[in-house]
Amino acid sequence: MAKGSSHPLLSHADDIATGMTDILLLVGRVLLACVFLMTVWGGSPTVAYLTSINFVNPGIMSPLANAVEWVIVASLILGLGTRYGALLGLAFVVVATVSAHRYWGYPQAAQLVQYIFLTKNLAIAGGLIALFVTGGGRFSVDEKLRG
Amino acid sequence: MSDTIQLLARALISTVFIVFGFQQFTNIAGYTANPNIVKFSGMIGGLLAPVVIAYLVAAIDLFGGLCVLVGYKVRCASIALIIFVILTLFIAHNFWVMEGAPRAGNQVNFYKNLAIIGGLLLLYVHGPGRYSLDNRFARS
Repeated sequence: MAKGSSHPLLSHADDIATGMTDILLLVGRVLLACVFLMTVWGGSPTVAYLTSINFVNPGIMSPLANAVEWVIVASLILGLGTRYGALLGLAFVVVATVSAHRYWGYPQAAQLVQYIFLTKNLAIAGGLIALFVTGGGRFSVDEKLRG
Repeated sequence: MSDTIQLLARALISTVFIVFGFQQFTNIAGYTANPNIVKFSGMIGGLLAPVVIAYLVAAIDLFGGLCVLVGYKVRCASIALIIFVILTLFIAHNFWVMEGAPRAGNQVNFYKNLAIIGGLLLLYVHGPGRYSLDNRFARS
């Protein structure tokens, strides 16, 4: 973690970041978890949805995806196995993006929305990778288990 | 190899901002007419004309994204982008006042944007990392 990135006048943001690291890591984890929580809360991806995008074995993959999402949510929010949770989330986002947001295959009117979802998912993937780098911080179950 | 991975994270997070910032700049007339830009202009009492806001947003998106990508003033750029994304949550993606298809679409965008804010926060916490202009300048 960098201490100062610029002239002291311009590096005030560095002081805040280093002083509040652990609370910000907690907030970041919760915000990243929200998108998975929102999706799985509504039971998504549902069997009907997976069938509509021709996903393999919708009957098995829908409950599996829901279970994976709950694991991701729990891991990120609790900070339990945080780095594994981040990697699992990354894998989920990659599969979801590749299977559901190939915008070029959609009718013209839907392409922009799908394109937005695709690029936003890239950003979310980047956030999960950043979490993999930082780890969960002090306010996490991982930290408690470490003793 | 955490510095390499952090660079990958920066590249992925910056894409959405660079792509849409570029699109906004190259189609500034269309973007000025965007209902959310017009709405925001009204919310601040017409203090800034829609065209000014459109240029501002395009600049924050494009240059904020480029700063994150090349690692220049990463922490300041992250904060600027976080503030911008928070504004989009309440101005463009306020799904709770909508109905039907727009509600569903904006709800997805709302939560995706929350996750993007989370990612930007992690960049802010971590700082620029080794493969960045910030680091290059700090050493010289």
